[in-house]
Amino acid sequence: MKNTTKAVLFRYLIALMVVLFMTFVLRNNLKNSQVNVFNTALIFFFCVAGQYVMLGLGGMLGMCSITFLGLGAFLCAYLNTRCAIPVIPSIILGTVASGLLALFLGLLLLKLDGPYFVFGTIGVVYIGTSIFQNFTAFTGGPNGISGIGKLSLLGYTFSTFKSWVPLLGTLVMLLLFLLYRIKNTSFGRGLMAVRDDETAAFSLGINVYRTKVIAFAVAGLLAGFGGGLYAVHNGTISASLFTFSTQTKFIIMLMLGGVMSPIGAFCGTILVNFLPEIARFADSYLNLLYGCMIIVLMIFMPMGLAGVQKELATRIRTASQKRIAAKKGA
Amino acid sequence: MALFFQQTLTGLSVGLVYATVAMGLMLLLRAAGVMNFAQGNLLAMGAYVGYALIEKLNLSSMALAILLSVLLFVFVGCIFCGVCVLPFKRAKWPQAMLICTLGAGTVINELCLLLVTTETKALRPIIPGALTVGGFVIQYQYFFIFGAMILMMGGLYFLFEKTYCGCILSAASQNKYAADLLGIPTNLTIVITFCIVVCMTGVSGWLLAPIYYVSPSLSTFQARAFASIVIGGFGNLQGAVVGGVIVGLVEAYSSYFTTTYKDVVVFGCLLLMLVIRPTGILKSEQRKEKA
Amino acid sequence: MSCLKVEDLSISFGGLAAVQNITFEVQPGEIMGLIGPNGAGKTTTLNLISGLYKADKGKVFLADREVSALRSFERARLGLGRTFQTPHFLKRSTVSDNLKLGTDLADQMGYVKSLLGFKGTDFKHEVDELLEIADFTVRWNDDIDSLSYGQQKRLEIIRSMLTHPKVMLIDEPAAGLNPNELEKAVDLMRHAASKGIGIVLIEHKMDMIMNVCDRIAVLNFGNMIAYGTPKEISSNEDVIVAYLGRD
Repeated sequence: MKNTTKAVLFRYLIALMVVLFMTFVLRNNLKNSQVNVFNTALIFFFCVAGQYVMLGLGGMLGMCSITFLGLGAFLCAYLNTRCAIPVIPSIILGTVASGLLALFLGLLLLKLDGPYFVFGTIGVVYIGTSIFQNFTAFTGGPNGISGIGKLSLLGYTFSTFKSWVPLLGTLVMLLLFLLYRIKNTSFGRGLMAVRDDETAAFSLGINVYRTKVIAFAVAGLLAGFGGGLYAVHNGTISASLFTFSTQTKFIIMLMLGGVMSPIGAFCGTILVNFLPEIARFADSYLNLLYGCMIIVLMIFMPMGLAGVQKELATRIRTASQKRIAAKKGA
Repeated sequence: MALFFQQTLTGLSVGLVYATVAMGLMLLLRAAGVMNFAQGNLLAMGAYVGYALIEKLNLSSMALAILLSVLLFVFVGCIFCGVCVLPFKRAKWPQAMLICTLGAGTVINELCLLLVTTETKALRPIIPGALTVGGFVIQYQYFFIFGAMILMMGGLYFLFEKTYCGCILSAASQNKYAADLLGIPTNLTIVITFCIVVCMTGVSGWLLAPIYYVSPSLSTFQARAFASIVIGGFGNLQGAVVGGVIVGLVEAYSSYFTTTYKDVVVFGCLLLMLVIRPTGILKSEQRKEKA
Repeated sequence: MSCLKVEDLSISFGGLAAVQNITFEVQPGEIMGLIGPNGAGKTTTLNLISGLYKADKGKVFLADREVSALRSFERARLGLGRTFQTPHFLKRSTVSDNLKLGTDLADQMGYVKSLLGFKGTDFKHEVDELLEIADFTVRWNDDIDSLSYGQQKRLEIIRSMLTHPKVMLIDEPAAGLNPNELEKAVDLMRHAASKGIGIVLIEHKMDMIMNVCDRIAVLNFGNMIAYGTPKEISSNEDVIVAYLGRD
């Protein structure tokens, strides 16, 4: 028992140190525009986390997280700018709306087999893109919505990008804890059973359809929350972000870091968002580099960076075990 | 009335293009088990190749241009297959292949932009001008598209149903394991299927270029092709054709009541079809129902 | 009160009548064998009982409660355990995760409670006891892949027992097991029976069936041609002609 409590405390300590690192080291050494990119990456991680639950744990390739992100963002922006609802309730309402949409779509689409489900979600993305770009009354059309209010918590107003860093860092750490917690619950195990072996799942009393719908709804909730944060953080949003090509970027963020690892997904998100900064020298070749990277990644490291790390760790462990065994033998 | 005919003809022609892209998708799905997210980019590539050969290199002989383009398409098909399909034969995660095609699509897109041109260009149609009959106008290029699509579909049908070679390709795509056991070289058949599909898609892109311009936006045809497959009937080629035509017509007729929300109409139909009848209009091979 | 009762169970696939008019009853603590040539419909019968197939006709009763209309996971939740010819484990997970799937079913506390941190019953003691009967050890954090086939088959029986079922449907446990492993699997089944669990056992090894089972049902071409004690079955003329062969 003591060991597990120690381990848990150790993890909390690491998380705290990471947040402190982000707050004091990173944000003081990065330019303002880079802090913006960093914050955006942290916000996008909420959407990627939703995808982790859906794809990494549940094995469902749902391609419509971007639509949930958009709904969360636009609803939050609309309520805040046109209906004069304060920031925090707007974010919450945006989140809830996305969750409900995800629930509805999940109930509808998850009766279908794999490929049909994927096509269905792709259809949703295109419908969403069209509505976001054209439903001017709600989304402001091509101009988007601007003038979204600033977030205030306990009297402190987050008015600069740098001020957002500790808040987002803390939220992301909490999210990571939640994701790792899910793996150890009956829901997480049930979801993994649905992913890996449906027959076993059925024979072990798991309601496969219901579990899938819940996972999909959770993905929608997380993406909606990310959308709300995005709207408030940026102050303006436009429909050009919420397209299918951005969705493919989100999938890549998840798969690059490790489709079955929350921390891997986090690293993947940061990496993909910072790629334009890192690869500035290759400006016009950036997309080409990006495409090649994806191909190489999928062929050689389908489990992403986390998968590589796991394999290395296993190899080191077996190598050291062999050495110990050899020593004992000799 | 004239408008109706115009829309119908436009819808049919565009629908046939969707059908061809959808057929290519279907073939790849059956042959390699991969949902190819780079199909639209292959279409765009066809347009760029056509532009490069005709306008940039100023090739006078059409026959030479066609020959070169076919060689190029076959080359691309082989590489595409070798990169995106063959390494994933024993993949632990099936989605990895799908993401790989996404990456390949990006690479193809970028190479086109880098090697040919970054601007949106126009390509001379095969016969410029349009046919004016009664109240409606239809460009001559549409007839070529029409004819070429029918030819390609007919060719595919002939290949797969009537020839021995086609039977082998078909067998390998329906049940790889059994085909392996029968001594059919499945790797080779996959590569050949890829080359056929890339050629078909490339040629379609080339034919579309005079109307839709040489630009990356041709890749948006892909989403429509997905919709065609589902609406027409997942799993068979006739379904892809029927679906493509339907999507084309739906899109054309939707301009009666909306121009901005075309996407919503088309994909709304897709979702509707998925809810009512997921197997599509033309049912294909059924899998056993479990309780 | 019987723990499992099956009445007139029938299913056809297309034109082929796979299973017809199967009727039997299993008492708590009884081990019932289901034997017959390949293709007789034994696994189909198990699939019908566990709900993976929907029967055309007939009823299934679990502890005197009719479950014919319930879906497979609902029947599992009422206490119907199942193992398969090839063990169905989550290949990407650890041993502990796989076993916890079993105890999740036993606890049935619901997703919300589980998320909020309610701990399920501590099953370690029970698992240790069962592993001792099965005569092998595992480390919790081992990948399930690292276990041998024989170990996996026994572990699947253990997982099923962890769900505290009323009935266990066991499909060919002997396939692929060496005699020692098979003996341990039989010990596990006897242990389960001693706890009042009714067992339906599909198997081809006649010596095992005759030794272990209290009653045997014989299937041939989807029909039940005999139902009785091992002594009755081994001297039943129809059974000998259809399956056992003359010695």
